[in-house]
Amino acid sequence: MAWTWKEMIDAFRALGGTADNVVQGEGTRGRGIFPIDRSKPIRLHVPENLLIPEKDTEFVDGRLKITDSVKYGKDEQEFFEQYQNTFSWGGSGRSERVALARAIDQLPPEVLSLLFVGSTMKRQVDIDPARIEREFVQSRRLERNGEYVLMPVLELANHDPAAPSYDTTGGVSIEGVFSDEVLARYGLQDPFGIFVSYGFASAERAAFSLPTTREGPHKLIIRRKINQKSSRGSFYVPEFRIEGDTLELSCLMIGNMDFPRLSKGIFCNVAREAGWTSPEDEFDAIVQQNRMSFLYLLEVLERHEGGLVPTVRKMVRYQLEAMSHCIGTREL
Amino acid sequence: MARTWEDMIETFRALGGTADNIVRGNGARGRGIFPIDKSKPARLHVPENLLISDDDIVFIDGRLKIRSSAAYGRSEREFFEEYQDIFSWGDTGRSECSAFIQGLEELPPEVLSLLFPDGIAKPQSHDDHERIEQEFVQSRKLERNGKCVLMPVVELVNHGPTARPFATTNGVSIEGMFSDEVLVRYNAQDAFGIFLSHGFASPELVAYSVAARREGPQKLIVGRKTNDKSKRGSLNIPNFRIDGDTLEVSCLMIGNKRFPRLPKGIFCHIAREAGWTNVEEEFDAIVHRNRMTFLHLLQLLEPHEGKLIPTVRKMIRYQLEAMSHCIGTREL
Repeated sequence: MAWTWKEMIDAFRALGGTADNVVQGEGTRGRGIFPIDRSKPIRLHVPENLLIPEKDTEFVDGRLKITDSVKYGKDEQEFFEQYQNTFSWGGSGRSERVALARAIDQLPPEVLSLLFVGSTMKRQVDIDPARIEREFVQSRRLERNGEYVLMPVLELANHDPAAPSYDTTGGVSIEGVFSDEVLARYGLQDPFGIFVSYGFASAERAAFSLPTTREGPHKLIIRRKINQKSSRGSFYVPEFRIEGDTLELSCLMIGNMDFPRLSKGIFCNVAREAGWTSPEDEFDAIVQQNRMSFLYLLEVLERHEGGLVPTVRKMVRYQLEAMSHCIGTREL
Repeated sequence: MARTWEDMIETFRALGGTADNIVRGNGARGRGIFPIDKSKPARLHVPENLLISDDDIVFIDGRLKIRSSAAYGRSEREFFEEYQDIFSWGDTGRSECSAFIQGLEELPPEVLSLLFPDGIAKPQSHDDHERIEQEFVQSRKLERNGKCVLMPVVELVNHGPTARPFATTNGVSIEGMFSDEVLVRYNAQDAFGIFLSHGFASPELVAYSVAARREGPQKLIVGRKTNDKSKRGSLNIPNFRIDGDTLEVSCLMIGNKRFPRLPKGIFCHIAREAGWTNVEEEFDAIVHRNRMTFLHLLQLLEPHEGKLIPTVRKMIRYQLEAMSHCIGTREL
C-alpha cells in the first residue's frame, strides 16, 4: 500500500514520535530532512517503543522485518516495517548501498586493501544480498546503552561533523534551529571512519590512528574502537589497558582541530602511566606512520580516475587535515 | 649543418671537455644520459672555457647565442651556439619550457597565487617568447661562485634527489658509477622548490617551510634561500639573524628523511638563542601551517583537470611526505 510522507508522519506521531516543523527534501547532500519554517526550531524524537534493536530485525524475502513479534506492539511492528519498505530500505536505501558497494569494488585492489585492512573492515569482492543488507543496517544503526538500535525517521537526517549529536535520553532526538538542512553528527569518527562506514567524505574535526601493533621493549597495540569511556583529570579519554609491558589502546587520537594539544597529551599521559619514558617521540612516530599510510593511498590513486576515486582523495585530504591539528602537548 | 651526437662530443672533447663512458638515451625520466658500460665509471666535465655566464647570452631570432661583446673564444662560441641549436634549446628545450608555461597558465588563479605568493618565482615578462626563454635559462643554469652559468652537455643529465651534486671546482663535473641513468642532484631544494625551478615533481629527501612572516612578541621571518652556511656544534645549519625581537631564518627545514630529529632540533636551538620560550610548540605550529597550505592546494585542484595538475598533485604529495619525516628533536 503506497504511503505518503504525511501518512507516515501521522502514524509516527500516533505512536509517540515527534516530528515538528520538518519535511523531506533534496539538498547538497542528496535527500534529507529540512525545516518547513527556518526561523523556528525543529524537533525529531523517536520514542523508546519505536527504537528497534538491530538483533530483533531480519531480512525476509528482501524486506526488513522485526523478528520477535511478541516483544513489540502490532502497531509499532506495522509502522516499522512499512516505514522501512517505503522510506528507507525499500525507498532508496537498498539501491544506494548496492551502488556504493559496486563503486567500492571498482577501486583498485591495492586501494581496497589499504582502506579495509583488518578483519572488522574486510570487504568481499562480489556483491551478495546478505552483504548489502548487513551494510545497510550498519550504516543506519546507533549505539545506545550498549546495544545497536534502528531509529526510523530520525535516520533520514544527514550527517555533518559540526552538527549536534543525537540526544539519547528518553529515546533518540534532534532538536534546534537549522538555517538549511537538518543535520546530525552521527558519532565520534574521523574522515576515514566515516568513509568506511557510510561511503562519503566528511571533514571531521578529529583523526584517529589506524590499527597497529608496535613491538619492542614497550609493546603497543592500537585499535580503532573509537570511544571516550575513560577519564583523566577533567578529560574524557579512550579506554586503555596496561598489562605488563604491553599498552593497549582502544583507539588513539592523533589530531583534533578544536584541541590541538590534546592528542599528544592523552598519549603521553597514558604512556607514562604505563612506565614509558620519552613517549613524545613514540607519538610522533605513530603519527608519521599514519601520514605515510594515507600519502601512500594518494600515490596509488594517482594512477586512477573515475568512480569513487575523487571521494577517496577528498577523504584522504580531510584525514590529513585533521591529523595536522596536532601541535604541542598538554597535561591532563 | 646537421651534427651528430658523436660529432658534438668530439668537438666538446677537443675544447677540453670530458665525456667518458656516456651515451644519450631514453629512460624513466625521458631523454637523459646513460653509461655505455655500467660496470665502469662515467665522467662528464665542462671546463671553465665552456661555462657560459647567463649575463653573456641572448636570444636572437629564436636562437640562443653568446653576446658579440662577450669575451669567449671563437671555437667555444661556435660550439656553444651549435650545441644549443641542435641538442638543447633548439631540440626539445624550447618546446618543454613552452609546455610548462602553458600548463601553469591553465592552473586556476587561486592555485597560481599559492604557488607564486609574491610573484618572485614567476617570469616577469608577459610576452610568450620572452617568458619561454627566461624559463629555459632559469631551468638550465647553475649558480657557481656567486654567478650563474650554462653548462653544455652536463645540463642534459637528469635530476635525482639521492644523486651526488655537481662538483664545481675547475669547471663543472659529474663522476661515478651508475647502475642505470647518470643522475645528478641539481641543488639543495625540496619538492616544492624543484617544481618551481624545473617544472617536475621530485621526491626530495628534505622539506623547507614556505616563506612566511609572523608578527607578535616573537617575530619570525622565514625565507626560502636554502643553504647551510652557518654552523652549530658539528652541524651545518642555514644562515639566520637575530635582531632585537625578530628572528630571521634564511630557510627553515621542516622535514628530513635521513635525519628526522634534525628539523626541530635546528629550529629549537636557534629560537632559544633568540630568547624564545615554548619553542617546540612554535615549530609544530609552523609545520602545521605548511601542511595546511599544501592540503589547501590539493583542495583547490580537486575540481580541475589539466596537463600540469597531476604533476602538481604529485609534487604536493612528495612535499607532504618529506615534511612527515619530522620526529622528535635533538641537541646540536
